[in-house]
Amino acid sequence: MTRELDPEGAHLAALHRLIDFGGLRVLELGCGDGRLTVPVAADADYVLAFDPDADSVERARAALPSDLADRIDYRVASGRAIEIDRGAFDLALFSWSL
Amino acid sequence: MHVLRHMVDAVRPGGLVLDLQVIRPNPVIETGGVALCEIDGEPLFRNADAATAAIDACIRGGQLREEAVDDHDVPKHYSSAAADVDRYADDDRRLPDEAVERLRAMTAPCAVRERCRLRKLRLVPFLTQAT
Repeated sequence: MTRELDPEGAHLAALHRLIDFGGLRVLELGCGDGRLTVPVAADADYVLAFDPDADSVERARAALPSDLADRIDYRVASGRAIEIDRGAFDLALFSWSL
Repeated sequence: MHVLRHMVDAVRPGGLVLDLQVIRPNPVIETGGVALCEIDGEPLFRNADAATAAIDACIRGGQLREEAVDDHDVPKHYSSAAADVDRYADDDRRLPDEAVERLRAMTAPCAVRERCRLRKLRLVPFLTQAT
């Protein structure tokens, strides 16, 4: 079985219609396998992306492009448990995750 | 909602929150551009409704201000309708019983198209004391 979510890039197009991620520090809750994380990080200054699903985060880490390795930090964590400094980010992105 | 409050605290005053949720109507299974059936999306809509209510409460409370909304369709492509049926076997959402056997018999690729809403919200900066 093969499955491909959003091959037409509808989510990413919607994000770009509303936001220019250039230079932003982004917190992404519910990153899954990094489907949105990587293209966001291509413009952003830094992305802390996390998800409680360890398998998904492992796939995201395995697929992390080397040129973005210093801009993306993947973590296995829930939105309740993760420790984040107050006011440390310019933008929080919730991907079906609240 | 504790998670929302925790995440919003991580954003600087004047920063942004983007919330992506599924919205009604029900997702539709299509093949070759023809709609085959709807999926009962209510289990997911209930979660989305709760998240939306939490954000709306922050708006009413003056912590967030909505700046833009973008509704868009998102497809998921499957190699066959049968593969799609298998995917929903362990999903909160339900395929109609009368459609399951018909879908299982189909070998053609199919897509599930669902409606999503992206909301752009800004953290209202704390009021500074006037001098």
